[in-house]
Amino acid sequence: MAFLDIQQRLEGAATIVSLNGEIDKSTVEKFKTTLVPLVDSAVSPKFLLDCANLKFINSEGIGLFMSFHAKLAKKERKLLLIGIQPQVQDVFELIGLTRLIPAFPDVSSAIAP
Amino acid sequence: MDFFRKNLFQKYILFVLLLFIVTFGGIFIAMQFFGRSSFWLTVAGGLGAFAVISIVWYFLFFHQPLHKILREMKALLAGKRYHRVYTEHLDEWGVLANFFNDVTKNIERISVAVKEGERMSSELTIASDIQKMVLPITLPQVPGLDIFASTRPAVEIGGDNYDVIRSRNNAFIYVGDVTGHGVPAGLVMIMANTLIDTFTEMYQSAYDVVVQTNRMLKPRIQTTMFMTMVMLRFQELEKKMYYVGCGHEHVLSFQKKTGKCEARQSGGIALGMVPDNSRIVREEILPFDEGDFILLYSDGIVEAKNTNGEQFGLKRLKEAMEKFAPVSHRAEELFTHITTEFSNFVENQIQGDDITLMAIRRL
Repeated sequence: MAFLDIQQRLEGAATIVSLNGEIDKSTVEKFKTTLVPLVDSAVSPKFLLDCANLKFINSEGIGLFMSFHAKLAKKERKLLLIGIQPQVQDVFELIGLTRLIPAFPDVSSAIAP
Repeated sequence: MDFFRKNLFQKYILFVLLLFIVTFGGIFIAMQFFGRSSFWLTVAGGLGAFAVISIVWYFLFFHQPLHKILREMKALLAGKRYHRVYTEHLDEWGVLANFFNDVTKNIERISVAVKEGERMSSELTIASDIQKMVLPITLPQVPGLDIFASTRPAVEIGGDNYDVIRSRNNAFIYVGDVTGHGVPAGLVMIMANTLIDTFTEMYQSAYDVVVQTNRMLKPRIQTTMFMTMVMLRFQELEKKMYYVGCGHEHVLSFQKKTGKCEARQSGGIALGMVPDNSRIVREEILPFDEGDFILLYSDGIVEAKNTNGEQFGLKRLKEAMEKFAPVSHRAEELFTHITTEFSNFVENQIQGDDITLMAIRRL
């Protein structure tokens, strides 16, 4: 059973959600049920997913990333990814997600105007 | 009075007492009226009346309610039609009748749930059969190629997809993987399979097939769903192999002359992620000479874990290809060697993802 901890904070004009652990079959539901209301109620122009401590993500998790991206784009808000680890970056690149959702090394570079 | 109504024994005592008073009172009054008096007559009359009272009591308060409940119980046990036991009894019979009613109500509820489960299970089997029909039973013969492939869904319905379609002088060969598995993935897989089948008849490049499939697929699926794919196109006259990647796993190719296995990133973007992928995907040539092998697979292979939690991984797959391709004369041989290596690695660890592997040899 994988572990996933999700923490939310506001920093300036950005909502930051830190993901710590793995998004796999056992945690994807938790990821979904926690993130969906946060994305739906997001008012800040930038929504950051801090992936610095995200060690694994399955395709269902990536599907949810895409869904959040689409939802936020409809509200003219941006989903940005932060500090992706190499093994997760490989998967994102493989699928082509990085073409869709911008990624930044850290929070400051992502929230910079 | 409720106190007496709730207990059969107390009810019996009360009944006996009341009727005892009435009976002996009646005998006494009768004896006074006729002016005769006898001890034995009083005892005999009393006992007679007592026996009649007991029989009446037994019939009214014991036999009838018991018979009513037993009749329905027997019907239930015999699998015949039974009814609720309606009773105004608050005593043990009332408890028993209510117990019977509750049990049968729950049985009916469970029975409906079981029937619904059976129906769902039977529909899943039908869906699984339909999906098997969509997947090729035997792959078509492609001049110049030897192809062997198989898929194993994690549950009844899988999201993995593969096919070999010959159209004019092209053979379109692909392995695809829809997000997740189960019914939603299976439905998208069937949709994609049909679109690809249609577009391979209309277009002569894998690029066009992929772009058109994506254009049709994107508005028809949820935003959380997508399908990664690698499509190869073997031009039968030129004997050249081309490939288009759609955010899929690496394309592994083994070259006989170098004895090395090369892993190419598929590139592109998964189908269903953007409305138009025409500027992202491209068809590229893949060197493929006589005796060379190509291996296509789904992430279920490389992400499979053994009992220690280690992934099979791309490195192991590549090494296995390099080890077994030189000793394999047919695609099926390489396929078998790699699947054996894979099975030895994962052992009995249950895999939660669909698994697909395709080996292609240039003749």
